[in-house]
Amino acid sequence: MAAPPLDFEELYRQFKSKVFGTAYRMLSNYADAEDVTQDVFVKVFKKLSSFRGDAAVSTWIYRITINACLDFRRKRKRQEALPLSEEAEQVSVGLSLGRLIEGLIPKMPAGYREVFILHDIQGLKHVEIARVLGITDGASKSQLHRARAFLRRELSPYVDSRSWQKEV
Amino acid sequence: MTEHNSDELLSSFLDGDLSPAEAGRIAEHVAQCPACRLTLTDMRSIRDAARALERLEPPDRAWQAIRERVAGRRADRRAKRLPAWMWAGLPALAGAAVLLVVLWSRVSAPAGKAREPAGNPRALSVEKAAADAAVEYGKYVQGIDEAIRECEAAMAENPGNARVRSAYLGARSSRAGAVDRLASGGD
Repeated sequence: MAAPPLDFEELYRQFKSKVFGTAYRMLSNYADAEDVTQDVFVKVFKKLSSFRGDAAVSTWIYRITINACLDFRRKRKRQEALPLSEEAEQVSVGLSLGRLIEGLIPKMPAGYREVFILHDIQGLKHVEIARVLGITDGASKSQLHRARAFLRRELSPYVDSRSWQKEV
Repeated sequence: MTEHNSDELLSSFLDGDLSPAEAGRIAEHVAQCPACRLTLTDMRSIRDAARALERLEPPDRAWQAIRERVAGRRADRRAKRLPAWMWAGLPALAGAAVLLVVLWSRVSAPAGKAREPAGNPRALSVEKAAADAAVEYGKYVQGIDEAIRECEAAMAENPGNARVRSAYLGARSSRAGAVDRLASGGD
C-alpha cells in the first residue's frame, strides 16, 4: 500500500526542534543553525514528492541535516574549536555537566561529534545512526565510545573529585 | 575478580547493546571493581547530562522565511513553465487563431448568402475545415485560460514578480482579443 502523502507544515512542526538542535550542536552558532534549518526544510520540500518511503522520514531528514551541516562547515572552512566559556573554566563554582558538555562538543573530532549528537543528545539508536551517516552499527558504537571517552578525558581537568556528577 | 572490561564494552553495556550473557558478566565484574564502576558512572553521567540538554527551537521567523523560499520556488517553476508558449508561443498561436477564425467565418453560412448545394464535395470539404477550425479555436482558448490560472496562482504566491504579472496581463489581452475576433467573424 502506498504511503500517505507527507504534509510539509506537519513535518516542520514535528522535526524543527530536531533539525535546529542538531544543527546548533554541529555548528555551535545560533545564526548558522537557523540558516541551515531553513536550507534543510527547503530541501525537504523540494524532495518531498520524490521521497519514496524506503527509509523512515526521521532518518531521511536527519541525513539531510547532517549533510547540510557538513556542507556548511566545508563552505565556511572553519572548524574552529570554541574555547570553553569562562563559566566552563570555573567548574568549582558548580557549573552543570550539561553546560560543560555543550562547551566541549565543538572540540570533538569530526566523526565522534555526529554520532554523539545523534545518539546521546537526539536519542537515535545505532541502527538509525548507521543509516543516517552511511556507516555500520559497529562503527557507530565505536565512535560513540570514543566521544564519551573524549569527554571524560576533557572533563577531568575541570572537575574536582567528580563534583559534576551530582549536578546532573 | 574477572578481567577489567574495555571502555567500549562498558559503553555498550550502558546502552543495553550487549547480549544478556555478556551483560551479566560485566555487571558481575563492575559490582566488584571500583575502577570499572567509576568509568561506568562517568559514562552514565555524561550520557544522562547530554540527554537532558535543553531542547532547542528555531525562532518563529524561520518558518516564515522557509515559506517564502518555498513559495519563491513554486513561482519560479511556474514562471519557467510559462515561457514555452507564453512568451514565445503566444504570438504564433494568436496568429494561427486569427487565421482559424477568419477561415471559420468565411466558410460559415452568413445570412443572405447562397450556400453550396448539399452533397457537393467542395461544400463537404469546407464544412470539415470549419469544424476542425472550431476545435482548434477551442483548444487555443483553453490554453490561454490555463495560463491565466497558472499566472494567478503564481501571483498569489509571489505578488512582486513583475515577469509573472506581465505574462498574466498578456494572457488576459490574448483572451479578450480571441473573443473579439470570434464575435466579429474574424474581420
